[in-house]
Amino acid sequence: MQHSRTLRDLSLGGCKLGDTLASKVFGAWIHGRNLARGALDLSVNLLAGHIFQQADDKSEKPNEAATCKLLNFSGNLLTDEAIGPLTRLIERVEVESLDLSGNRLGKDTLVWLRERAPSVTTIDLSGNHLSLVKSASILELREPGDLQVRYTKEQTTIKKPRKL
Amino acid sequence: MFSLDHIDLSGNSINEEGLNLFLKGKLQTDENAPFARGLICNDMKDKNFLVNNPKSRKLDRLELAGSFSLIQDPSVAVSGFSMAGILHSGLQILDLSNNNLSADQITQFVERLH
Repeated sequence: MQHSRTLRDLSLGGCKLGDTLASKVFGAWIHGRNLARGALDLSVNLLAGHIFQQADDKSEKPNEAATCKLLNFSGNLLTDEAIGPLTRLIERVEVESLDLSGNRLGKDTLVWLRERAPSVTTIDLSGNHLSLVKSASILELREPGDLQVRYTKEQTTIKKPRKL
Repeated sequence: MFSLDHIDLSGNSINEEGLNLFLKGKLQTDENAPFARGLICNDMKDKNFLVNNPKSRKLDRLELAGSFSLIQDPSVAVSGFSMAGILHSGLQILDLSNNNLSADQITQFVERLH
């Protein structure tokens, strides 16, 4: 039986996927042995929060070379509750860029990402509910040489230089 | 030798005969090689021809995204094909965004990823 061994970029954006189906795709992306992970695009679907919990199969170890350049979950219905399980997955799989723009994320997401997403260098949080967060909470992320935070009313982008 | 990295044919009304020219490599000297490594046919009305064609297995990039304006039309959905047919050992980039994919198709696809 022939297997895919080199699939690098997969786009299933706008396919009306809910948590159950999307978690199967995401779980296979994290744990699959026949992939060369580049970018996974699950943007503009119907992800609400359980996708990462269901995809986090602790009994299965991710591929040893489990790095991912980009995870795109923009334009879904994700809330803060979804980010905890996501960061647990990111701890096990190095992710370079994370696009969470256009969701329903607030302050708790910033805390999760600050504490548990060491591999991520770029996070897009534009178009979320961060306007409800006090500016001080965002400024807490600014640590010299560690985090760069750009915050405007329309866009919030966090850039964290990769540690050598 | 491939002459092109990829070719973008999106937004055209290209038919099966036209696609065959690209897939069979008749536009170049080596008929066994496709015209380009990658074929981008976003918004194409009938995607099943490309998905089910064995010649597509020589491509390393296949983009068959639908569009929001067309997605309500069942004829543009990627339907009636097995995900097992689209994933092959050389495929690196696959774009099926904005299509109507069934739960069975997604499940088949996931099984192939493992």
